[in-house]
Amino acid sequence: MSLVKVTNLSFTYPNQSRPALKNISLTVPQNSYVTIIGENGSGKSTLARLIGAINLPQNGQVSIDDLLLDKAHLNAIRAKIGMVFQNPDSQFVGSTVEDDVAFGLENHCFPPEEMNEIITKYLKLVGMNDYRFRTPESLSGGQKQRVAIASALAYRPKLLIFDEATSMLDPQGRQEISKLIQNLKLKQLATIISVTHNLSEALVSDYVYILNHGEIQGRGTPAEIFANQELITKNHLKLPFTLELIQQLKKAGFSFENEQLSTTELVQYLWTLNSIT
Amino acid sequence: MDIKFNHVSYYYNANTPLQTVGFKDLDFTIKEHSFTSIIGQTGSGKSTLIQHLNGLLIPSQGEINIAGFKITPQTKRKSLSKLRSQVGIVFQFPENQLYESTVLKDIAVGPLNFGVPLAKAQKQALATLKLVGLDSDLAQRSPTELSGGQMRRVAIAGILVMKPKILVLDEPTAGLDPYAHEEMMELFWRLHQKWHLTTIMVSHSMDDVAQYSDQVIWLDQGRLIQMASPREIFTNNQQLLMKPQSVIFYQKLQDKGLQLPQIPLTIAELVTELKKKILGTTIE
Repeated sequence: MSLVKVTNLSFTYPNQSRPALKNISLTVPQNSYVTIIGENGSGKSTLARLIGAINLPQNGQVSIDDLLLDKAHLNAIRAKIGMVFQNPDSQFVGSTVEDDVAFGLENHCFPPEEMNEIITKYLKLVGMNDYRFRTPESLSGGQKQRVAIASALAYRPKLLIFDEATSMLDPQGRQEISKLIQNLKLKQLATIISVTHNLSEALVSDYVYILNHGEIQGRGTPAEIFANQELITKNHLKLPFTLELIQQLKKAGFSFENEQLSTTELVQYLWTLNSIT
Repeated sequence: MDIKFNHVSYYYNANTPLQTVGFKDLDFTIKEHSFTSIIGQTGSGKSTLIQHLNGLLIPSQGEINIAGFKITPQTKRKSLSKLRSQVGIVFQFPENQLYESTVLKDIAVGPLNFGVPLAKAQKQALATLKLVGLDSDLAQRSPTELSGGQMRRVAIAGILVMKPKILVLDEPTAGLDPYAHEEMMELFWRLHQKWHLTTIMVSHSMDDVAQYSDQVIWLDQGRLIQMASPREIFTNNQQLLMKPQSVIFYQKLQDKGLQLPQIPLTIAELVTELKKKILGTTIE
């Protein structure tokens, strides 16, 4: 069953002649992990904001959990969605970690006597319970993003949207958050849409859409996407390291039966080649 | 002229009970026209260090020689305004610092502050806009109407318009997509060569550090751990957490028992060495 259905969606910002999105159609199945990928200015954040019910569609339709996104259903739909944004500093609203999670719960009218337990549960889930009385300025970017994830999950949304949630983090923070997103997927806590320009994050998702100039340029499983060199280059994307290495080894004269080896498999393959020569 | 740090220390809240170490006893020389990267984890003192390069911070101990200026704990900040026209610092997410109503005005702020007449300042601003790869049509637009990548270029143009001799970059590619990232690094590399700059870059991208630097300054908790070429830095340093991807891959090959003559700093080096090692002996 599809949790998200987008049909012929177009969107143009005020005072702009060029549409940010043109005739987008896609579906996101329940409990799946879908990546929307594209370079800066491709329209991917606009799409995230429409699916996230921050903006309303101008042409075409968005439906979430069988509710059509319009003014009448706005609040009902927003209760089903959690969002994590790019900048760790601009989405921390509480004065402490615990307050930040409580803020969302209060807005969704959770009974105060249940809050403590819920806060503990989700802070533990993201590995931040030991920091619950800390203030935001004493946390790293990655830690702030983990709190943002706990805050978004605490009111039990069906859909969790990450809008470039790792792009402002250092490599360590990026790894932390990518691992955490995979973990959420494994636990089936929510359907996940991740908007990113980082192709290696798409590797672990179920399905990938490539967006450019406001249009869907390609779609498929990560394996199908990564096999399509032309699509990758045309959309200014960069292959994850191991896959890029395989492509360059191929150009240098190595032959591969399977061009989508994992890192361990490639190491094994090269070691074997070296042993027999 | 080389940049010299002579046993320099900096303390935040010096001589108060709240005194903490920014960095301690840094002693090194950065050669003129070289490309130097500064690496280290959050809190290692990287940002404190670069703020000393144009006198935003004055050392608590020791002496810095840079662009003909001598900076000691006694130096008055006011006396360093000329230094700031020679050392351009591009801070992290510089696009957050744009504030003028048009792109052209924003780029011209620096020259105007240093007394360049308006017409000339605007002419310089326009030329710099093109230099960073932006269309001159954007000159009269408000910076807020531009995309994030374009805004960053405008902010960088605002530094380059001063024609600095020393360019300091603090995480210049943070938040950019891979394509914009590459374009940005190519822009800095081109300028580094063409303008014979001394370039100093703080970066978490070990791939960029390996690819572009002549030397690397590795800081940890305010101390200099090592200053060396990228190849030395990335060879055999177990305690260094982040490494270039080709080095990480090569370590896995080594664990299996496949040795190359030297560690590959880039994917191109890795491919070349593997080709020599594996295919070289079979193809005559």
